Amino acid sequence: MTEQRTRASLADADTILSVRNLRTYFYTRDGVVPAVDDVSFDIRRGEIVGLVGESGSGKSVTARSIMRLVPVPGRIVSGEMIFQGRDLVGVSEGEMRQLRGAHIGMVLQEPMASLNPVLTIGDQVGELFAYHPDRAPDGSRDDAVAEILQRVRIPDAVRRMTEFPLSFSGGMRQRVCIAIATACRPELVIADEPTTALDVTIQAQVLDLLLALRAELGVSVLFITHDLGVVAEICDSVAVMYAGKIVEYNDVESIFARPQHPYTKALLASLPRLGERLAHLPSIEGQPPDLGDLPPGCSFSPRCPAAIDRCREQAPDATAIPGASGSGHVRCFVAADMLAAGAATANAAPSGSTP
Amino acid sequence: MSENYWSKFGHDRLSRRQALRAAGVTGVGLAGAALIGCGSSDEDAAPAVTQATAAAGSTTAAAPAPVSQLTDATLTSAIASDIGSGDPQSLGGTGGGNWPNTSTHFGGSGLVSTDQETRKIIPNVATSWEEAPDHLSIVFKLRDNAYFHNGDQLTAEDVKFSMDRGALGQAEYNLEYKGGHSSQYSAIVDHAEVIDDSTVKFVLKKPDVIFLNRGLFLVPKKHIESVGDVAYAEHPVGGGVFQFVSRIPDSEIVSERFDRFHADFGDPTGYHPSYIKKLVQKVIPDNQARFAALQAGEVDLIDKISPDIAGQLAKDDKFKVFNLPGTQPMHIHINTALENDPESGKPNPWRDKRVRMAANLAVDLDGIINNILTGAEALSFGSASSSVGFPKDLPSKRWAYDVEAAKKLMAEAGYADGFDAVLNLPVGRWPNSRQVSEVIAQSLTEIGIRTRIQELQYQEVTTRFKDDSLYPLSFWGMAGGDDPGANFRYGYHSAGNYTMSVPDPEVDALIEKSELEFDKAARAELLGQIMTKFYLDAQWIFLYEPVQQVATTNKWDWTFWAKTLGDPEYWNIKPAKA
Amino acid sequence: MARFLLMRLVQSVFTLFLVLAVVFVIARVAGDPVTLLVTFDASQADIDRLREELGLSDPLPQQFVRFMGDALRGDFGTSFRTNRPAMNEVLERVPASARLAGLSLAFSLAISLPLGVLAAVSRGSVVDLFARFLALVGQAAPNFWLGLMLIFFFAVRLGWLPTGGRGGLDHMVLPAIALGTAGAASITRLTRSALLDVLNSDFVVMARAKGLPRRTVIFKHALRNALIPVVTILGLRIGTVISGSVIVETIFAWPGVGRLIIQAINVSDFPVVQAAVTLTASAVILANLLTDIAYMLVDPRIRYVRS
Ligand SMILES: Nc1ncnc2c1ncn2[C@@H]1O[C@H](COP(=O)(O)OP(=O)(O)OP(=O)(O)O)[C@@H](O)[C@H]1O
Ligand SMILES: [Mg+2]
Repeated sequence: MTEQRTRASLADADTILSVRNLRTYFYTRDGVVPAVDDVSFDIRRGEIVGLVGESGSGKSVTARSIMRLVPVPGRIVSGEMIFQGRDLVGVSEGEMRQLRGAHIGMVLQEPMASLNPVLTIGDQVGELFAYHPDRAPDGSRDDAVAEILQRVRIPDAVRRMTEFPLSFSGGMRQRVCIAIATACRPELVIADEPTTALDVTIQAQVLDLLLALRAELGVSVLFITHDLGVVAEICDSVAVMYAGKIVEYNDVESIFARPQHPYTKALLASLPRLGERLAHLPSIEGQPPDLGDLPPGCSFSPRCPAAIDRCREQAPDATAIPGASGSGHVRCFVAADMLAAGAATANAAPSGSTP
Repeated sequence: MSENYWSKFGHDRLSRRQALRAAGVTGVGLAGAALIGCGSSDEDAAPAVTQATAAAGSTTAAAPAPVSQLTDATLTSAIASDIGSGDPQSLGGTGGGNWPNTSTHFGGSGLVSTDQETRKIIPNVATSWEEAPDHLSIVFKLRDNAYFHNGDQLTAEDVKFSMDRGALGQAEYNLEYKGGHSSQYSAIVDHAEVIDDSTVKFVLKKPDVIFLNRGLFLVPKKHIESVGDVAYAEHPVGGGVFQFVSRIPDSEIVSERFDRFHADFGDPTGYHPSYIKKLVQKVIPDNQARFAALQAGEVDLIDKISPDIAGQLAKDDKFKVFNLPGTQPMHIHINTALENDPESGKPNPWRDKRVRMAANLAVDLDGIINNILTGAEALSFGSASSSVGFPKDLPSKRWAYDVEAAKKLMAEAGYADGFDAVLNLPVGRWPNSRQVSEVIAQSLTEIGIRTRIQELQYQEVTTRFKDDSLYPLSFWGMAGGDDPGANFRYGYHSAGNYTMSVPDPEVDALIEKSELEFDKAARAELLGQIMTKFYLDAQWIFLYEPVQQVATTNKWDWTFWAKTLGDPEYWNIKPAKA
Repeated sequence: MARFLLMRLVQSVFTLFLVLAVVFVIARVAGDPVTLLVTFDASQADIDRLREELGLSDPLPQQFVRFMGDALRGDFGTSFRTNRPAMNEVLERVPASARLAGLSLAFSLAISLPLGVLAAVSRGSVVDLFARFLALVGQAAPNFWLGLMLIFFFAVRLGWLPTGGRGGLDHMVLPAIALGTAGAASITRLTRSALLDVLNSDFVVMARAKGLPRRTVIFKHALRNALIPVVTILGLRIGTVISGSVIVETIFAWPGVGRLIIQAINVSDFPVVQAAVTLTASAVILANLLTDIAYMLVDPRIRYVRS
């Protein structure tokens, strides 16, 4: 089933990144850690895809995998990442360097730490153009840098580009990071919790900025966050990650309206009101699993209120969600059974992605 | 000298034994005295305290080197420490800190010399001398062909100047000059007078029985007055066997043969130059590094080496090892001056002669000499170098190693259960002193004197001698010398600076009497009595006379002239015949 | 920044004062230098006269005040041993020591920086293992032992270089290695670990995410940050090098300040000890000051925080 779906989405001309069955494991001294395990999702042109999940569920590793910047002792084990027709898993390091920064931009989780303390802001933005000359704007580099800084609404950009990160506040630094990630007008921006470390008003400004940039540049965004409120506000579709796996993936309305996976349901149930912002993912009873020592069967089964015996023995495959656009799916025996039953009785599967 | 008490008995016996042990050495005796009293340790640059009675320049006269044997050879030697100053009379020159300079540039150029066989004072720069009957003045006649390195003739003016400048602070050109070395003269000499060019007179404040044994460096008046003290210290001019050429501080001293070296050996010319033409002394403080420099062929001779290195070199026929007979009797000083142990407050057990005897009997000296040291060390019987000869019967009364007898004495003295003691050890001062001290501490512990070693800076030891606060034992060395009179004064007499013994009126009286005894035979007898009494009273734990080890490559021959020497006689070293 | 410098300066002067006070006292508790300057049988009158002449008979506090006053005017007294101005004795030996220390530092850096960088960027490789082994051995080997080994191997066995002594570059090679090895070892370790830390930092990931080539990432982004702790250690090493030179200069018969200090201590030549300590302490303090300034140049954070 998944195989068919893969081909279907590949055919979609609008898809700029298609991740299929990605596995990134860490080979630590204590054993193998499947930080990203059989992850599949698509990002279409201009789309904002949210990636949510508890801390340690593998969101950042997914992002780093796309950039091919997985830290040691991690390694992409298998899978495909088709970006503009090329499989990122297989391209050479040289080719990858061409893509990074120019075609795929990334905003790291920690705005305070992701700028080099000993280089000026101007240098850190401007050096992009030195290595991606084809994406460099005409005219002087300083002008280009100033313009980009203005684009992310950094006041007094011409003066400030000669300063060092130290004199920038957290919000300002995050803007600089976004400026760097978008300077070359990339097709895809990966934003790893770009707002988590910021206070609420700054968060809002940064989000507005991202939306404005999307409008202006037409970029697609992989938006990693803990914040379901933000997801509801800006994302087009959402992937919910649990213990290295995407347990549910669908467009944002469907997820919020009809969550399928018990984990998604639990997350939403603990949200006081739709759209309300929580700084952190609502907490769910039980401990997040240790990725190095996962329980047999479904990783969520020990915490799952709906778990049946089968859940504790077998790991569920991805099941397409009827009516979902793109490659929407859920990984749950119970949900799959209910979907199947629902489809049979209601016979009301909307068109879109019939398996 | 009287054959009865001050005979050559010990000398003859011991010198033969020592000669056999000294590798590659022939004709080694035990007579003679060297300039350096206390040897300095291997690494340090501490000036050895000059033996007071060593007649500087009077003792280092060279053996004749027939003109036909003069060579163009350059000898490069590695020495452990540099000079402080080229001026032998300066403060820094005190205490032998300047020995490379005083023994090369000034050595052998004193007024008188010592006959190495008879130990008699013999002419050198002075051809004759005459003491007034009241012993309050002495007149020297100088030879008319003695010169300084710069060509100036040595005259009575120079001798007077040397005394005025070096000892009395009366040199008119600079009354501020701080002389150091000859300070003992200030208590004895009133002034010097020039009678004529070749006659000089010293007027004394009091009779001085060892006046001729006291050293005086002869320095050139005209030259010093014209160049000044600073320039002179940088470029010394003397009358010694080598003339100064150049020096780079802490690196090297270059000297050259002085053709008119004016030692009197009865040679018709009166001059006795060295075999070698040039002497380069490289300063290499580290013992191992000197060893390496010799092996690498960078130097021909290294001095002050440790017994283990000497042992390695002796096995290799590319090198020769020489044992320079020591000049400096070592002992363990015993504090009997304090009535009570300063820590426990109990009566000082060392005041009991039986304890001191037991301590002497407990130490296996022969074992120490043969196993830790070179095996060539002579036994010490007190504060006189064996080179001067001992009373005939003294060696036979030796405290020979006997643990049982020692234990018995301890029990008799009421110390069957023993007591605690500290052995104070000046660090790094004498070669192998640490190992020797450890063995001694062990031996004493064996008979109940539970001994612990405490290391002290040398200066701290010299300082604490003054207030008798070193208790109870201290490892110590006394300068030997041509005449033990002065040693007895500062080491045995209760008024001496270097004694912590309980005053013994009998010894004091003997010393005072000897200092006024101008009859040689009578004086020798007195000295013999002092030495015997002090030894038999077991006032110290008597040890040995350390041997200095020197190695050369096999390309050199060397026959010692002096019977006792602390430093290489460079003028007697010559290239080996191929 | 000026205020910060001023504060550091005041602090430095105070440190120097403390060092001098300590040296002054320690030198004097070890014993009376006069006993080393006179003969055994010197009369008490002569000893007292000499002590008077050398200014050693006054009470200690008075001697200290006089010493400090003279020192402020640049007068460190006259060496007991050589009768020459003590500071001249020291200054004359500074060039030799400075050349040796400079060469040893250059050696340390020439070895340690490339090795440390190489080890960090190829972590776990043979090069890394080699670097870590070398750093371990280099830091553990006492420099007198290392010095002797170098002498016996390169000078005696192979005969390539002289065993020691004053001279040109050939005379300096072995002592510089002996003196610089510990530094090379610790700087290698430090460079490696600092660079590893930095390579894992977010801004390096960010630099890589910009598509910069590896070289730019390492040299432009990572190394400069990694060098900040290295610069600090370099400043501290000046002190270690000076203390190490005391031993190395003695073994290699190198006529520098270190050897002079040993000699002067051995004979209680207070004026020279004091002059030498003043000079070396000043050098160390100055080095630390310069380190702080270099630090500020390398790391803008400090400039901002402290200004
Ligand atoms: N360097 C590493 N070495 C070993 N394991 C790692 C490493 N980095 C990540 N992991 C493993 O990968 C898992 C996922 O990490 P990741 O950083 O992707 O989490 P995350 O979802 O981004 O969490 P957060 O919300 O806290 O950022 C972690 O739980 C950890 O077990
Ligand atoms: Mg993360």
